[in-house]
Amino acid sequence: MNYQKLSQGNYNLHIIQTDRFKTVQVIVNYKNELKKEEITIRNFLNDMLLSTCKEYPTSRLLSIATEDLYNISVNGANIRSGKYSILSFKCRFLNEKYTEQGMNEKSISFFMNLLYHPNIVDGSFDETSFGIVKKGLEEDIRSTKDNPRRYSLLRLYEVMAPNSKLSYHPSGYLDDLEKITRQNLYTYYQNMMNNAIVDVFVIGDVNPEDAKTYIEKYFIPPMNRMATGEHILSYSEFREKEQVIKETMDITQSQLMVGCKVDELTPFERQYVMNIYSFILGGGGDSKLFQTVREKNSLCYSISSSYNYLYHTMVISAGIDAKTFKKTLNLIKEQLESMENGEFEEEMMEKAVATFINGCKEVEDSPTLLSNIYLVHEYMGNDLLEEKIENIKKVTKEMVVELAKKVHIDTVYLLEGGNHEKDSL
Amino acid sequence: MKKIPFSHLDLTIYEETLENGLQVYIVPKENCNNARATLVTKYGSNVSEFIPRGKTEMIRIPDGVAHFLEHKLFEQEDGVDPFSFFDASGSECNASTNPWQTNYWFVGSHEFAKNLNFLLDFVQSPYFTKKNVEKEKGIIVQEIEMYMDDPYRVGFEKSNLNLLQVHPLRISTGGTKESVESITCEDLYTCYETFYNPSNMALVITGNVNPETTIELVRNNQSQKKFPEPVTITTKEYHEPDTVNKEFESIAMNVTIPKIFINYKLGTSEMKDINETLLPLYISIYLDMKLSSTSTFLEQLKKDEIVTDDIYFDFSDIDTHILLSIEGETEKQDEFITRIDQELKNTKTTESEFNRKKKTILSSSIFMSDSVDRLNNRLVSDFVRYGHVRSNLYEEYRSLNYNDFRKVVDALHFDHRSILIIHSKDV
Repeated sequence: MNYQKLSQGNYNLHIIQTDRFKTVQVIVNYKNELKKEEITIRNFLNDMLLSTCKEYPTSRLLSIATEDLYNISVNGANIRSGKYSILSFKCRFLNEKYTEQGMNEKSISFFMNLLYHPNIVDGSFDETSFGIVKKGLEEDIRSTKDNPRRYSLLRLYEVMAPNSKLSYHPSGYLDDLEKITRQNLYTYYQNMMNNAIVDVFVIGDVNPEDAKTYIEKYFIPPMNRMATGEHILSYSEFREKEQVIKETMDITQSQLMVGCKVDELTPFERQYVMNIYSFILGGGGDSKLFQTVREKNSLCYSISSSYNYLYHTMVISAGIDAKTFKKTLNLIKEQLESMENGEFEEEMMEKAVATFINGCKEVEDSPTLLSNIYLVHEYMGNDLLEEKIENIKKVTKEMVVELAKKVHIDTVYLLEGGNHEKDSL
Repeated sequence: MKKIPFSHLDLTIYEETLENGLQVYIVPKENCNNARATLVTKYGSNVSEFIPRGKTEMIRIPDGVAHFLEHKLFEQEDGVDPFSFFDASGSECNASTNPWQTNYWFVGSHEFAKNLNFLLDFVQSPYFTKKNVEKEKGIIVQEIEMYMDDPYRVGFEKSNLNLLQVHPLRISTGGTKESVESITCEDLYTCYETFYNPSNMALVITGNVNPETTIELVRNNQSQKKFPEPVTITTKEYHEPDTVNKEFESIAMNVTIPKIFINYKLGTSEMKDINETLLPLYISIYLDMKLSSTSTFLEQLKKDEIVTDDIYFDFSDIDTHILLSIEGETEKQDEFITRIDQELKNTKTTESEFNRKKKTILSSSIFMSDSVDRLNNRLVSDFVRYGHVRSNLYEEYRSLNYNDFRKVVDALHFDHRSILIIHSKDV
């Protein structure tokens, strides 16, 4: 594998040449400060650019074109990432070795066509696709309650840190949607294309010179080079005592979420120690939470902890019967405390390290995971694979216990389903 | 051990059937770090009535036994927890049950040999006690309740229930709370002894492994264990009528926009001369032509504001029928149903579009071969469906032809339909 980063004026081009894949993947990322009022318009832009372009003015014609290009896949997402919002577009296609010569260039040209030659009529996006995309986004926003687990997490974040970037809804807001017009969407598009931090990735068995030539030929660089700031969100205030919020919904199973805020971590802690901590606490079938709450007490089918270092949060979630709320919560608290007291075997540390290293090796089998390593290296200065494998071995039990003391329960959120029998707290 | 080239995918399949009947398939993948092993039995929730090993009378078991059994095989007499065992090498392990099969798998190449031995050992050493069976019930009931809040899962299960009159595909894989409560230790042993004989199972390994040392390990592991003789398993045969069980049902769930499932029960008796491995592809191509984002039909449906999102369609099959399910989100239910019905019955197609769809099928087989997991799953479902894995997948796909396609299309009769509507509780 060969990685190079080329500083191309106002954007960075990352080329990862590897013969591991039969496919080639190209990613273009636009990074801007995360602003609540821009989430909806960025989602809109994402869907709009992926639905048509000048050359293929309807989504039917565009779909046919993707089939003609040996089923090239193109997708995009507006990702909430710490203090930033990343509009990320990806395409993946078969290496021309498996199709026909010239297809690598044709595929990249097709992808860039979507981003840089949208279907604009008289300075606005095309009316028909605009209407279809708008209706789709409206349904997305209206359907946030359809998935109880996702909805609970959204509510948890809202009550944990109201008005902070953590509380923003990833699918956007109806008020903002109403303000979007075909004209102002185009203005936003032009502005973003020229005023974002832009990184382009090419991953696959492609000669780096060719990759560079194709990108330079079809990609249109931003007019300005933007400065980047601190990516990760941290907190200065913590709750003295946790808040308990209970809401009800007409569903069968209740969703329990325990939201924790974490003190500001060092790069080493957030990349390594936190990982081991969360693995031991609630990472999988062998974790303390799974073994206690599920295996010993049969209180749930799923329980896990996951942490998001971009927001300094950790969330424990479980699907339970509302009647067992108090018992389950007490068991979870006991497990959190036992982490602070170092009540776990060295063996669990070893398992966590082995899992982490295995995970690092798996990264090399997937173009998406592999590009992500270089991406977070670029954005957050996270270590690359080889350093990761070395550094994880340096984590000691003492470090994990120290870190446990930095994890504070902030909010207990219960979305109560079932027969709503009251369980006194 | 036989060595068969996996045509067009730059891979080789190593294949051996052991003395005890276990089929072993190994596909090494160069330039890859990871490895995946799956031990699968051709036994899922579709088995409801059968003659237990050593008996002569057909019995009926409670719904959800196959899935319960999957949970309980993780219980070991020596107390070693499989999750914990695999964690030691940083590997991940899990299991799953569907109507046709039960899978046990792990992923990870570190200490692969040790893990592979353990996979075989834990699945092949059942330890069910009254106490550990009772303990599992609370966990499984929570799993069932989790699915009860998932409209897609409910939609899928209800659709099968309403389409089928007798075939056990109508039964939910997990069973019901009541049936789960009624499962006993004896039920589990009866099913285990009948369906977990190595002759009913396969071991499929893909990724960064050495085929010679791996097969040697499997041979050694299996030769140290005693298994009862392979016998032919008799399961009940069902004569599923063409008509549906229930033509219409409307249920309330926690959804914002109503979900409509239009389900068809299509007889396959007129398609007997079509290659059975290609038949599902022909049907996929037809549905794709009619309903996917490349169709003028969907384009018009969106323009007329009947749907906003794409339409989802899928099908499963039993011996005599194809069960087709089309799902859309819409407030305009009657219009949606009428239009879909009309479109499917209008069987006009073009050869050029057929060829374009064929091209995407060929491409996706190469995409598939790039992933250790997807490749593994492909081989496992081949074994369950056909009793062996297909090494000539790409060649088979290449033999898709318009003539046969038209034969299939002309034999599709959309006469037996069942509609399921999942609407909001607020209405």
